[in-house]
Amino acid sequence: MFHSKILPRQMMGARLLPLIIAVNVYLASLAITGGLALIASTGQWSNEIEQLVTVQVPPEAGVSGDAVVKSVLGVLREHPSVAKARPLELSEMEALLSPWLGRNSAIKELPLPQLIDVELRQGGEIDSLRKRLEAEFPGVEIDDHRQWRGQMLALANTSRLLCFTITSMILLAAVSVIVFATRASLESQGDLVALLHMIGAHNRFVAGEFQKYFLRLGLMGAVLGLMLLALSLVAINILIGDNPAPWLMRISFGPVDYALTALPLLSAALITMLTARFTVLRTLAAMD
Amino acid sequence: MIRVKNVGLQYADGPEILTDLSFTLPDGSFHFLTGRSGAGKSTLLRMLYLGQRPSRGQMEMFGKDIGQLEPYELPELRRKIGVVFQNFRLISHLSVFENVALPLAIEGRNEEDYARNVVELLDWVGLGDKMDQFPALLSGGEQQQVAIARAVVASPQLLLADEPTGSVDAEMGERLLGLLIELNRQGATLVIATHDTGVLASHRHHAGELHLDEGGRLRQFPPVRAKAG
Ligand SMILES: Nc1ncnc2c1ncn2[C@@H]1O[C@H](COP(=O)(O)OP(=O)(O)O)[C@@H](O)[C@H]1O
Ligand SMILES: [Mg+2]
Repeated sequence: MFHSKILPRQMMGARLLPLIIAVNVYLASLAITGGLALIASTGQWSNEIEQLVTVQVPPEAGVSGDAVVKSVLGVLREHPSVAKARPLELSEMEALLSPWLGRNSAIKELPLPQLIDVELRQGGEIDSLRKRLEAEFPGVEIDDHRQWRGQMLALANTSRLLCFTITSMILLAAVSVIVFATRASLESQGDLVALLHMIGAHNRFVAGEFQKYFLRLGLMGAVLGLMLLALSLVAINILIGDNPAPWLMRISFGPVDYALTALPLLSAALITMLTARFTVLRTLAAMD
Repeated sequence: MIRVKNVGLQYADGPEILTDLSFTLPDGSFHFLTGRSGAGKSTLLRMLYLGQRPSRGQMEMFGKDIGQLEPYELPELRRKIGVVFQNFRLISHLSVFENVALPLAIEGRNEEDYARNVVELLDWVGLGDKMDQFPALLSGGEQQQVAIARAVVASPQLLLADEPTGSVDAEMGERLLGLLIELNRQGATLVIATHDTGVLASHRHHAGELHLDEGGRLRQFPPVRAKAG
């Protein structure tokens, strides 16, 4: 492929170029993959949080506490915004409080509010729900986790921004390194370029020869980088296993994600080729 | 026909190396270009192979006013010019055959179409058995032969040689000169820069002389017909 009658089989420094491209492409792809996974998981969190509210029925509701809880549940389950409502079991309360109170504590003796987990329907709003509950059951509170949700969203946005910044920087570094290595390799062929110019080679011919040569190196590097990436993804998925911890997502990609991951590969080959083309053309233009 | 009129040439904003040059080289003519070292011989040749444009004045080659040409028009003209560079300028990663074939390869032609011509030419200059060698393994004289073969392979109308006998003994020098003169007999306009007085003495009877003096000015002399002998 792309055999040139004019260029050396091994240009100075060109042997390293595919490796340099592979490593940089690999890092860039990895950064993008990580970014996509992070964005996907934070998106999922904030969606889930958006739809969860907690209703508190205070202990002061008196002896008929259980009855109040029942009527509150009834109101909740009828309400059009509510998908599900479920009172927390005593054992769940215990689990929630154990970090503060320790195990085997006399939770039953404590005047704890009864908590009800409420899952809203898609697009369900809670203002009318809140009004109704507060009117009918004084002391009942409805917590939409606004503060916590705000923090989670801020965290998600910060990590997206961070991920975007890191990915951009890795891409920038990759581009610089590839451009630099390509130019360094071209520099060793200055005599050849000058001679070709003097014996009447057209600029597009000279540029074309170098372009083909460096496209080949770029593609070699890109394929190598892709193989490294594929290996890493397979390894990560195996390590995470079939039942990942909730905070570890299995990386499952759609076509768009694959396209985004492939972007550094194609770009690297293209950047290598275009760098060669424009460096040669600029060198030649300076000779006339 | 090459016409040079009132040409001056300077590098960047240095002094004028060539000053008020005016001369004419008829088609098929043969001139030596002489002058002391540093007089500007290589510079004048560079101007003639379109590697350096004059800073002022007019130069006409192959019926074209060089000053009026766009850069993209220059390659076609350069292909009509063969150059034997002073330091050969052979490409080290190409074999003797590939070096010589370079002017044909840049035209985008297929190797099968020109391979026979190149082989014949290499036989003619005496390098038939060194075709697959690389330049670094050749003697100075052999490298000069490769440079000459490359200069003439595309049948140039103008042949320029910068001190082609500078690095070889007198016998080899004569042999190399003979190759260039043969091309001139076949119709190429020939200019050879030299400070080799022996070469001048034995060839001035059929070659004119362009002499660059100290001030970068040029005087042109016809062949010395009345050679004793
Ligand atoms: N590329 C260049 N840039 C600046 N000055 C140059 C360049 N080439 C040659 N010169 C100067 O031009 C003068 C003539 O050089 P040159 O043409 O090589 O002379 P010759 O071939 O007769 O020895 C010298 O003074 C040299 O230093
Ligand atoms: Mg010189």
